[in-house]
Amino acid sequence: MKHLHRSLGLSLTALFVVVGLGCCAKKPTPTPAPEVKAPKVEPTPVPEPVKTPPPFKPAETKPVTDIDASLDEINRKGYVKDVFFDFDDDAIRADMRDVLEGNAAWLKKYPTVKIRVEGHCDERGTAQYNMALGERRAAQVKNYLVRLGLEEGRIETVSFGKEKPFATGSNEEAWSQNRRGHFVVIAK
Amino acid sequence: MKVPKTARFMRLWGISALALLFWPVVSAAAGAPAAVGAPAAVGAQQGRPETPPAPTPAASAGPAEVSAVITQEGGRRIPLAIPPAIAPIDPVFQAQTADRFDKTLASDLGFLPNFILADSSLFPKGARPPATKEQGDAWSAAGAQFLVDTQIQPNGEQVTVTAQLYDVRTLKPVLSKRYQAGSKSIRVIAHYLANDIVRQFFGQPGPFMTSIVFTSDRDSRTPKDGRVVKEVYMMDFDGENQTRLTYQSSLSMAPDITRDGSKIFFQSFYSRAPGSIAPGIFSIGREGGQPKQVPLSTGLNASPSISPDGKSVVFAGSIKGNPEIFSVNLDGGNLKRLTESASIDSTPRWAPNGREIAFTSNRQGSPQIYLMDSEGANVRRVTMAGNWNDEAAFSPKGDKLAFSCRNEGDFQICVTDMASGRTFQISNGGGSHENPTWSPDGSRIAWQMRKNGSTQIVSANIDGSGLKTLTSLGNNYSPVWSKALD
Repeated sequence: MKHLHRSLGLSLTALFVVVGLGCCAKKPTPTPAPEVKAPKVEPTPVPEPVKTPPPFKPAETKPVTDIDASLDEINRKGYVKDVFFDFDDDAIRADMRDVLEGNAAWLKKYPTVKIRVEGHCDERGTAQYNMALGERRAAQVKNYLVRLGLEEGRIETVSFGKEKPFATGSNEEAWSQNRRGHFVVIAK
Repeated sequence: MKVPKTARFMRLWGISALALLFWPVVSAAAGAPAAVGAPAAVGAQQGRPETPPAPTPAASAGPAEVSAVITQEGGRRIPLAIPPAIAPIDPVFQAQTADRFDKTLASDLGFLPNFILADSSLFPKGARPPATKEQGDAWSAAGAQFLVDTQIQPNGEQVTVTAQLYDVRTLKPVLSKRYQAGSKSIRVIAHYLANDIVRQFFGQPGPFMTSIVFTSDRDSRTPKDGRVVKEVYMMDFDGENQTRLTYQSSLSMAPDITRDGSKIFFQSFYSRAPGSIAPGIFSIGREGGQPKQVPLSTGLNASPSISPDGKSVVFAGSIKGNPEIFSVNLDGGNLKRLTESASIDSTPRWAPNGREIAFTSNRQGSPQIYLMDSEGANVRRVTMAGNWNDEAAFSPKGDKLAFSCRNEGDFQICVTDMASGRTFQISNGGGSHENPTWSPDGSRIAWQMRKNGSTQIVSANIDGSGLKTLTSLGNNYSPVWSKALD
């Protein structure tokens, strides 16, 4: 009995998730099917029971989007691309503007997505100042995206200073990789 | 907390037992001239008994008058002979107690630039203590002007150490001491004796009972996702007794220790809520335990520095991503913004007088060190040379500032004399040298040195001589020396 309840609950949750996603997707194909079936549940004495309507139908009609996958997968795909900085500088480089515009366009397409911008620095500066520099870099990236029309509340920032380098090595190639604003999708 | 905790407990127990059993020595120390600035002296004596009645010298105390002559030797290095302690010929006792005592005493006194230790291969036989002029001359010929003559007596679980400091010219003891403690505390007895000898010559103890707080990545697992864990550690001034304090499996940075040595503040990315990454300022007791977070509404929350009165913390915080210097009470109350600039302000450090704060800013281009009053007024630039200066550390008297300095290439450790503005570099050789901190007697500076891909904590005399590496496991960062001498 317990098992039955749980599986019912699960399928109902699945149903809601699907409905929820369906309505948030870019092209909300009208899928009245589940809504029509819902009232049918009511007449029965127990609120939850009743055989779950096939949850596959609405899924099939929903378009596949970039954010269907898990957060890990979304982050692996790298839809939001990192930006890079000059030494001891937090200004958005001219060659990074296109990258940020591309990011903004993607984020506008998925208005439920929230991101974190991590400010990173190369190993050459002092640890303490770099913590502050990384904070500035993250803030500059955020401000740029906000100017492009993204809501502030969707972007959180953090500095890791020079604590979490992406590339090892003590040469300009590694350093240029490590002076970065790194994007992480934290909610979808 | 496994083994280190036990070791630490034993050690502390040893110290308190020593303090109780050797009241006269300890109280004499408390009555000695204050080591550093006024606030430091107050801190140094916290937790010590009130000045007791006249100290009764243990054993047959030598004539104290002689010390007046000796203190005039101040300027030059004092030649000292430290022959092994006379102890029972028992291999176990020799190995576990006598050898450790000898090694610790020689290492302590050899640590300071004030002494030259005579070569033990030249020591005369059978001349302890030097009773005749011939015997005294024999010690002089071996390069000694003073002789530390010690005996260790086991006494159940306790040991008694009797020590006399002889002037080999007058053949008289200028210092006579007796210490008793648990045999496991033999190193602590050696530190006490070393302190008493230094105090005899220079009026204040050496750094032998001080500690250094630092962070270490030695507990990082093989970084599967590049995650580096840094925990807060503490060790004796000479690198012994390295003890882990935090178990947050997070990134902990930039520790600072209160003047009384009871609490350590640090920045950490630890969070109970999964998914959220927000650095905070935490405190932890010197025995470890559960870290306590200072409630803050700011971001960044880096580089905490405790005010000399121990009531507030300055730190680099941010509002809307702009790093500024803030001050906050330990309970999160009275948050005050001290700097107002559109540029980066970071790395605040309290001056020991409690009236000034050093910090780093790039408001004039490159990162340079500035001073301001404790309320944020009267900002003036301190460092004029080099293109990157950061991580300022005031000397215990506040008359000098050590910092990480760079002109070309790697960072070095520089020291600026505040009155004259003269700056000299104390580190040399390859590698990157960062995060300096002063011993509370002002005799040494410790910092982190990166060489061949490994970052370790070293310490040296303030002229750069006597460099010693104190750590070797993993990488070790951000040393901060405790602020009281005993």
